[in-house]
Amino acid sequence: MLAFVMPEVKSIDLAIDLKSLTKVYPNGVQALNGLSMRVKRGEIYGLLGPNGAGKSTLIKCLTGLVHPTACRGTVLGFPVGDPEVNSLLGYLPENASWPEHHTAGQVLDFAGRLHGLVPRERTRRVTELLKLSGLEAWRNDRPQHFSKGMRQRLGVAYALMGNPELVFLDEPTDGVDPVGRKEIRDLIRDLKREGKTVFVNSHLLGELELICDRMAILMRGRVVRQGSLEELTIESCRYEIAVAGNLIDNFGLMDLIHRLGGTVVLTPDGVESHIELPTRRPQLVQPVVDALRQDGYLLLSVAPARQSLEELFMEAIRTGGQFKTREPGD
Amino acid sequence: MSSLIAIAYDTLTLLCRRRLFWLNVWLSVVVVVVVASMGCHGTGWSLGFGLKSWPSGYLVKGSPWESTLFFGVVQRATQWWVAGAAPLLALFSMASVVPKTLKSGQAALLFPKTQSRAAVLLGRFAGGVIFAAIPALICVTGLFLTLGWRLGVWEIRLFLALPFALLLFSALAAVTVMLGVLTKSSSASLVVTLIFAASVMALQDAASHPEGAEDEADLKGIVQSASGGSLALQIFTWPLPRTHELMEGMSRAIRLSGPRPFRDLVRRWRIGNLRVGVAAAEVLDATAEMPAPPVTPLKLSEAVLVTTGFCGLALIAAIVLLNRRDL
Repeated sequence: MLAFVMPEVKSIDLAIDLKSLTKVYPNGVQALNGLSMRVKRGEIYGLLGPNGAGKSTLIKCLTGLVHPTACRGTVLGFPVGDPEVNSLLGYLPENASWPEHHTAGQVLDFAGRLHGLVPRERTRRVTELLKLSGLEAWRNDRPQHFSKGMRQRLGVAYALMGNPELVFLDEPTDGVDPVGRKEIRDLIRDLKREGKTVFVNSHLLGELELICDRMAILMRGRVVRQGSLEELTIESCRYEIAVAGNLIDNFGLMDLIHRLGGTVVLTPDGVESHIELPTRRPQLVQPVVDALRQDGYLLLSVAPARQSLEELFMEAIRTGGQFKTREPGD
Repeated sequence: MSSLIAIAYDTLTLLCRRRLFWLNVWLSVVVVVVVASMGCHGTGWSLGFGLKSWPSGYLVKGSPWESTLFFGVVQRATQWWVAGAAPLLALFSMASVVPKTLKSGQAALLFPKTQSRAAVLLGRFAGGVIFAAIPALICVTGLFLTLGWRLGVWEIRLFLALPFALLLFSALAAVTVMLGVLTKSSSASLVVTLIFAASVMALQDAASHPEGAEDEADLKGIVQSASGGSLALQIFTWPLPRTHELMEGMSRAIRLSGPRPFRDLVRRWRIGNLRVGVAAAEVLDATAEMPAPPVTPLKLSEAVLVTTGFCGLALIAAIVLLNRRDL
């Protein structure tokens, strides 16, 4: 497995600083296994992982809903599980069950009461958040009658009621239509602009790719990868060269490509060859380009490429978090 | 503190939206209306604002029996409805509150927004107690106004029934809250609370009234105190809510002033020396003011303290259980 080394960051700059978080449920299931994670203040942090990886347990531990079996770490400078931090947190749970006796406006008003806001401030904030979540017209309707997307938007508004510093959003765009998804993405970016830290757990990898500054992949209760998308996919950086013609029979060229760790794939119709060179340095591509020109091949394209988040995630699933390391010489 | 108040208010609004609340309120109003519909006229007494009338030589307007009839009925209504059935109905509503709060979808919304889990639990409990107080207050106020209207007697002591009734309710509500945390099931917490309440009453009855004491009470005009029960039973029941003593204390606290020929009447009627109308006699018998047991102020204070302590311990146990639990 690739050694995972966390960069040195002062703990005051960290919204979440987990050194070793373990959770074993009474039935013996180990949901988190010495998990380490660092989330900087003011960033959008994405959490990826297959079902059962421990994502929800992690968020529940950080919000104080679940007691860790063992933990060394802080949330906004408070020890994990310290209820003092709750006033600084906002949380949208995955399957929020809205109280039946409240309308959307009353739900937010109740959240304001829980935060101890005075009536005038509460009223102002409720109106503001209903507008923000696009639910102004449904202020007096009960969330039970809302669509899934509307309930999610209400959940985001609920999480933001106390003007939190750190917001946990568990599947915020689940069930939301494309327009609503974009609105939630914009909202998350606005939160970042306001200096808030947003911790997003989502299955929609494309969404995370669009908004997250950094992300982590969780597997079997451990963080197997953590970093920005660029950092995570740096191992997969490569150059792709498309050439007209069949290269397979050109032994000299094939030998050069193989020595550089590259591969050649011929299209089914046999008219194009696609070369992949596992390097992010253009200098290493030049000998191949030169050889191709020398042999009279027509170059269709030469472009750098990298794994998408989805490919990275699928690789993590496939390998169980055992990522392959870069070939030496790069 | 703000979150505790917010949760108590939320609990109250939640419970007040339930049908059972309105049933409780309407039944309280019905009790008041039935009592208010009773009245004496020149030749006897009537029910339903004169719809059904019974002749009587004694129960006539202006006689001392008129006030005795009202006092007896009001006292029974207070004991049976305000401190009995109404809180029980409130308990049926309240039993589901804590288990629902602990369901993951609701717990995840509520708990991360509060400073302590205890605030959630205490808020739910306080909201439930205030909820139970509403129909009780309606009924007592109605009975107070009825007495004033019918007899011109403004018995403010009637309101003393409220703290007694609410203390008894609080003890049961605290048990329900604890069981709600323990089982996360509305029906289980309700059923076990009812079994607990019945057991407590039966045990305390056994501890305070040895066999044959009631007959003796009838004869001597007293009810035996707890001294007759077995020591082991008394020790066992000591820390439990003092339902008997509180009910008896309440009945003494709200005992109404005014002419009291009642006890003698009943006694004489029973031995056949006095002839009264049969219907009136039945009403009188049903509302007969039995001699109150000798609950001393010290004994009553002990009962209040023990019941309050029990309530507190049950809530502390619930908080400890909740604090250890993953939500």
